Amino acid sequence: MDLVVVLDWPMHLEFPVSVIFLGAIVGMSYGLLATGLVLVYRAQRIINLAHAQLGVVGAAVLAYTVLQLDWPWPVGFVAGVVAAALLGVVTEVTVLRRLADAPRVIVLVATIGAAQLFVFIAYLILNRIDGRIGGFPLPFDDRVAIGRYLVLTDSHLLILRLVPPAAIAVGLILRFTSFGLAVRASAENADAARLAGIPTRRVAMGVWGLAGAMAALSAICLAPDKGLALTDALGPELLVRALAAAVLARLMFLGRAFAAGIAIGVVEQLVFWNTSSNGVVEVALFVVILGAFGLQARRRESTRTEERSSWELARLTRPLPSRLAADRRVRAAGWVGAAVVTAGAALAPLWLSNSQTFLMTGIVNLAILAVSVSLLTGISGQISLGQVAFLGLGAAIAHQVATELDLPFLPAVAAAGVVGAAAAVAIGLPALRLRGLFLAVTTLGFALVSQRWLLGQDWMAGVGAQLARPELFGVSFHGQHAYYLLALTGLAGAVLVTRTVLGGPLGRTMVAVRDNEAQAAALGVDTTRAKLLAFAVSGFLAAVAGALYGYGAEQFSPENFPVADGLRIVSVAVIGGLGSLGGTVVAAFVVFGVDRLVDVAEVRLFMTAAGLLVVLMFLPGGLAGPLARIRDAAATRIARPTPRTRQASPPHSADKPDQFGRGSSAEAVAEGSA
Amino acid sequence: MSALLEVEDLSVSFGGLVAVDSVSFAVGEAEVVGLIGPNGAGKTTLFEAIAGFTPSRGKVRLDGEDISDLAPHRRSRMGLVRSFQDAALFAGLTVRQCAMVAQQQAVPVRTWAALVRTPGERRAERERGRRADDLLAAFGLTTYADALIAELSTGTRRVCELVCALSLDPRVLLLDEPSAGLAQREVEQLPDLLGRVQEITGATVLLVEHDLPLVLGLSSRVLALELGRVIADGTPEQVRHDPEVQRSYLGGDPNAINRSGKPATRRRRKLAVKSSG
Repeated sequence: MDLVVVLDWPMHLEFPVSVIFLGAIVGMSYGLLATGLVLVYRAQRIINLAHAQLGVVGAAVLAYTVLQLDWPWPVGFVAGVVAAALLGVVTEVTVLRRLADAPRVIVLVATIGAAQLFVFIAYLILNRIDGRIGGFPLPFDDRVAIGRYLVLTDSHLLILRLVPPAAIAVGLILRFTSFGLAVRASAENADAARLAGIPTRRVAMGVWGLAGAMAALSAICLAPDKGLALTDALGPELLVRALAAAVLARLMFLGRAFAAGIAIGVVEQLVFWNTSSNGVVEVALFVVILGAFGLQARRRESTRTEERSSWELARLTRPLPSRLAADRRVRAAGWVGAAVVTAGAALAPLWLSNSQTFLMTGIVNLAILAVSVSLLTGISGQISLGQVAFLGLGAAIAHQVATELDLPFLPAVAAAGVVGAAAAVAIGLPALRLRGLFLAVTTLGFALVSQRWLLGQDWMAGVGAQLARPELFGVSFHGQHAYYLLALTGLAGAVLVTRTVLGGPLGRTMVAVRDNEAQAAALGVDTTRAKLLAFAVSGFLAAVAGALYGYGAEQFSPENFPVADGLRIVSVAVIGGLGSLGGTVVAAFVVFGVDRLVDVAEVRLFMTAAGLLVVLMFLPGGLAGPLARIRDAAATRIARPTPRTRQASPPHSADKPDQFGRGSSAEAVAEGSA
Repeated sequence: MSALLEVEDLSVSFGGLVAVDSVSFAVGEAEVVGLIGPNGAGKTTLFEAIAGFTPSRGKVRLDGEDISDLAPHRRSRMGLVRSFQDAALFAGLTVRQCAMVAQQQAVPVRTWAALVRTPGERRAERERGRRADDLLAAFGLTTYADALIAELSTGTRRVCELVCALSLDPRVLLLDEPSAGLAQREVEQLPDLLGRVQEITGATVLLVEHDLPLVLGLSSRVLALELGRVIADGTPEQVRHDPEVQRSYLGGDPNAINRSGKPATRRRRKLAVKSSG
């Protein structure tokens, strides 16, 4: 076991057999998670970001039954697995079934909400265990060493004992049972399967049950190393590894996903052994994901259906009818309304404490970030889960420009924006070939690379960076309220820039490319340019938000830009209504306001998780829908007076709810050819 | 007659399947050419290849210039404009916004100017709006101007798509089954509509159509495709009586081909009743 293969060229690399063995064990847990992801993706074209957290609930049930109720370990194990399976089925029936026809990005965000809800449930269960000492319960207490240096942890031993039989069982179920056949049939062609009499709903429930059980197994295996701090432990690192394995299997092949997981585990442990650096692993994984997608991009046919379903919007918010929008009174009212809201926001700190104002400043910056997501995802149709990376990038660049080049606030912020735009374009380049969920995975990987490696470099933020609040045109912005106003000005600027883009030809072009790329190209639109422009503008805004954040926080480190925030910011943009500026800003203040200013953890967790799911299920268009209705009603009232305008009113009046009405087409053709 | 659009040895294959098999033909100025053939004959694929949406081998020339390597939007800007079977357009835009997207070729957008909304760009945007409104009015779409595309029927979307296409000032129009998804009454209006489009633009029209009477009535020349190859090329009369076309089409049932030769209006009315019931 102490055999070591050594390479001396091109660089010194050691391949100890024991480390490879260890990597294979660790990798099995990734493989099991990846298999669960692939299973759900195959059945429903959903990347289930809640997969690991679903398992955490099962692990929590195991801990509770064994530690608190004194059940024997095997009984508690079964209880945990069954609980997660049931929770999976319940999630399918209550949440995902309702969203069956929703655009894929909405479903993706729903799984983010579900993940938060699962964490909340697990948190409640774990909190009921008295005297939480002694760690996660285990069925054995042996210690095994491989070679001279490596001792297997409890997790490793659990994985060795539980995962291989479970993987074989899942393989056999899918291959040899009628359920397995039904899953494979629905995965190939859900409509045809339904026509052939396969109960696709029951199949979906079965898939979620099985996935839940597998997730519980993964979490139970990983839990002993994490202790009872389970809810925080299975974070984005694990998700990215499982996703990388899943995409290596093209999100199609279960066995290959398991094998890819093992391979990733081995590579990870070898990189650790040779560099003892965490970040390099993330970089390697990101390269693996990009490479896997690069290979797949050639097989365009297979991604096409998925691409389409990504962007069939369930609800669309119509712009103000041009007749109303052109009305001078309506426009004036719009500006007055905006001024009132801005003034209210500017005066808010008068009722807040200094520390609350500081938190509000952070929220303002996150609102800018949410606007950048709304533009990129809502208008241009590119799903980015890693927008938080550009926030960190902006802060780091501002720090570098301010300290190394000794430049003042405004040039530093501008430089951050420009670098952010360039970086976003670089990340956007793969997006020219990938769309939808695949881009989501890529951007998530980038966010992890940025937090774990890029931002930690000395030429970025390093281990920690300082920025002093600025003085501008002789006015000092050192105070909390003063800097809050500066950040608010940034938000107003971001909203104005985005509004200009949206209201003009650029936003129109982006929507056209989002909705129907081929048709846009047929009308002479340069679709590449339109997409990259969306990335550039959103990267610019996100990095400016980051620079403002950096100056506001005065000191920060890569830890201030956690990957989880990248997911939450997408949730915020969806709650606000993708592509709606007003809705997004309102949602940012509500969600992060609750998150930062409410002290009770339970309330906080529950509000963000349940709030997101409720909005998705009952307001698929987000807050934008009701906001647009209020806007339209107000505009109609303001512009009402003369009977002449009323006569010219079109058949689709502003206050009619958004729906797929069928226009009278025969008339249109008749008029057209008259 | 000089050739405006020339296709030379054009082939498209998907894996092992050859969908278009070295097709060559040339189309002159202001011709209306119908393209017929059974399902899977490669008509739409041929269109996709000519417009640059599908990788292909062979040459496509527009007015003598080789455009085989150009991206779709470049071909479109040169005046080779295609339509789509589903006329899906842009679900999230209004009819007016769609028409304005199409106007961005006539009145180009400069990115930096648009980002900061210079006065020049604002004028340009007003100009696009004015042109779009004129065209919408000319085709009776004014009442739908503020409706979202997603709210329209296929027929209205088809008119809108044609308005967009002719905003590009096309020299060659590739129309992919304009009658697809239309109600019978709308199909009956189609020849007039297409006639107007051609009158306004003076473009050469290449037309894929399943409705044989329609295509035979509209075209001055017809190409018949089978399994990716051209099997007949001539006047509608010649192609209609071509034995190979009769054999490949609907198992050789001459009634299907000759429908338009008989008193078609009554037949159509019957069909209309059936389809609405």
